[in-house]
Amino acid sequence: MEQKKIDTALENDKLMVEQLFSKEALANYDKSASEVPASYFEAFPEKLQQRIANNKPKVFFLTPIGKMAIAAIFLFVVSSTFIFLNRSVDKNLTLSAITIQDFSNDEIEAYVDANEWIADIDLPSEAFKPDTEVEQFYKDSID
Amino acid sequence: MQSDQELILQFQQSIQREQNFTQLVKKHQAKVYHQIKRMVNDHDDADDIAQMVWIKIWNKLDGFKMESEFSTWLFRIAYNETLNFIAKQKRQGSNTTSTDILDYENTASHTDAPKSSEIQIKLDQGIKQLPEKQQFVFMLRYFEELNYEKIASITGTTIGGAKANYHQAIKKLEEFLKKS
Repeated sequence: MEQKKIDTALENDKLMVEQLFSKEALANYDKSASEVPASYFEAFPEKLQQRIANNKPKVFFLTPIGKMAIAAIFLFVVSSTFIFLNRSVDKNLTLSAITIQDFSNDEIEAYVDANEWIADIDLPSEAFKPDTEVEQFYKDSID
Repeated sequence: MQSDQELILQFQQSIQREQNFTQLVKKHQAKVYHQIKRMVNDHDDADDIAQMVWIKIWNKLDGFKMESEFSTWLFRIAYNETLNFIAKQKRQGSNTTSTDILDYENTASHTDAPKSSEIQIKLDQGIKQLPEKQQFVFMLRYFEELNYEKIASITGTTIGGAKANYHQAIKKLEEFLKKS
């Protein structure tokens, strides 16, 4: 039933065109489109396979020198990364190993003299003084 | 003869890929070629586009999920390739099709051709003046006798859109006949 409906719709659609142009003209139009050189379709699959083979991405084979060059670059990158990372680790170890005993008395005294004002300030009492703005207090301290 | 589905499955499982692909080509090549040739009117162009279509099929067949019919997918690629080709030709300023029609017209008038040739010329000219999408839909419906559902899938429109394209094409052909 459904198929019959589809067929009728197709017939009606075709009839609309055939009322404008003759069936013969329409058949001729299609005939000219169907004309192909002799044995075109027989040869087409083979021609296509050849074109596909030519279109395949080329595999790039390296020469022995090329391979060695790539290996050398790879080794250089890996070894320099390794050396760089090890050097950073050593620095950290040296810093963490420094203790108070490593500084001379003069160095400690010089540091205390330079930062004496911090030791002089009684931070809690300054902060909670009446009418004292904390911001102003910090500003003054820095100045 | 094996079905499209069987051939595609074997291709996707890397079982005799070339042989299975060739079987698919042999089954569908004529229909695809004819549809393209109806649009471009030149064998070399049609051959070139057909090859491009099949190369695309070869490259994408592994990912084809068989949610639609193979022939629908094939025609969809053919539709896109043909329209791209025509657009490229237009950009390059090539106008071979209209020249061909003029040559045909001149030959017909010089040789006192019968009246049927006049109708033929008008049909050719009428079809050529249609927008490419309407041309494609018209040919799929009239010559390939495809249903609108399939035409809609091929051209990437709705069923209603495909119907509208066909009827607009006929309306334009009618107007063209009246004018000429």
